[in-house]
Amino acid sequence: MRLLPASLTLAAAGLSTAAAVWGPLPRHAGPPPPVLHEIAETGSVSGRVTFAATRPRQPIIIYLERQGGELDAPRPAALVIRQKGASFTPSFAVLVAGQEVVFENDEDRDIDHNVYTLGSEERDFGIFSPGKSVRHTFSEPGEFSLYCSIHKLMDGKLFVAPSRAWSEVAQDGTFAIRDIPPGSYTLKTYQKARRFRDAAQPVAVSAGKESTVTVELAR
Amino acid sequence: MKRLGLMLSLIAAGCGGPDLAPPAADSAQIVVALSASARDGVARPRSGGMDNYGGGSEAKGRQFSRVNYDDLADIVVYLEGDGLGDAGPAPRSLRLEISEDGADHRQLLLAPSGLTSLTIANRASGPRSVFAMGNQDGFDVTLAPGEESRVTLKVPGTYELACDEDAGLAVTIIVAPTTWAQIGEAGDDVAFDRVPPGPVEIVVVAPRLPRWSRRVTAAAGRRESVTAEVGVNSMTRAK
Repeated sequence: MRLLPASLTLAAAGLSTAAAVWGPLPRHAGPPPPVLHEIAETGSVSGRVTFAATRPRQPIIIYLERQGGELDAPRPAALVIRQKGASFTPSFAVLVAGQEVVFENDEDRDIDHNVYTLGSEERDFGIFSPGKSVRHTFSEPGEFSLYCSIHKLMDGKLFVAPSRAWSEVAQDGTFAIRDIPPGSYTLKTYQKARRFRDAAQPVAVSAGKESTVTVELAR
Repeated sequence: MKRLGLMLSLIAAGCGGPDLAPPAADSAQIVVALSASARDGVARPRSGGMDNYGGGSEAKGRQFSRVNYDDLADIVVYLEGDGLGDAGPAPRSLRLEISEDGADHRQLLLAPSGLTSLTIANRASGPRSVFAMGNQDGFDVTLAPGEESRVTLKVPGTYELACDEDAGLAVTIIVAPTTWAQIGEAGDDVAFDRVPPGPVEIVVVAPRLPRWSRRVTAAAGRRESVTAEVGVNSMTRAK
């Protein structure tokens, strides 16, 4: 679900400096395209999350919101969510706004499924027999719950981050977001099982530097 | 997925029933019929409320249990509007028991301003950390086996109750914006008596399903009856 590493992106663009390309990827390797949307040295944000109580076992996501508009970057490839065994797999995923999801009924028996979302966008994607799928682009950031109206234990959750500038917090509380264009951002948290008030704090990203922050999650 | 078992005892006072006396001259009645239905185009299961799966032996897995729309429970119905006051029938105490014998998605209804006290009891064999956090309110308790704790939530909203020891716990807590709130089941007529006259928003929230709402005007001496469609059939459908 993440972008190609910056090094691969650079190779594709034929660049030789420590820069990342923000904009559409070229269709082929070779000479640099005549217009690049934005070339900039990047920075990174890393740090540690401290918890007012035991760190929850369920995923915690750190993400950045860019002040003045989100990053113009290639979207990750489509995420496939399978339904075999009347379970969404994966049952939780982080997407990037503008990323496509393929809901695929891969049951090997004659079992239909329905998919609908509640939350930031509420939509019914229809009924699928085995072998059928539907594609949808999640354009707006936010949390979405996935359900099947047929099977009562079939549920999942998606978090759509504003851009690819996100990272899951490790069990030891550390996180790192790399290859971010310089600028002013707001660092925010998302908890799949919300145990603390979510944090929001400003962070500045400078070219070639690593900004280190401490995020406190408290009740 | 294993799910924590939940047993819910509800001690509610003043729930209205469908056999209502005529409305009083100075107040209104509101009756909400809960009409639940499966999605259009979904065939009924072949047998036993489950899809058969697993080969020639027709083995069945719990994960294939189907939603029975004739038997939906924990449907929250509440009224929203200025001047309703706090004389509504929302429960003043609730008890939630957490065990290990499996359960479906449950939904709890609490009155606002901490008027409902929720007792959470750990009936599981190990400790359980149970928490719910909203934007302005929440609780977080860790219970040893056999232990229980009483919590309140003051701020209206929807809270997802979670358990650190089991990601499968599926309980939603709704703190209604007014005390004019009740829990019903599919097929019920949920009745509110002695509703102060004025504009009222009726909101219905069933577990895992989109909310339904309707604005009515409660008029003194009159009964307002509406049917709430519970299900996914009114959702926007993807092209």
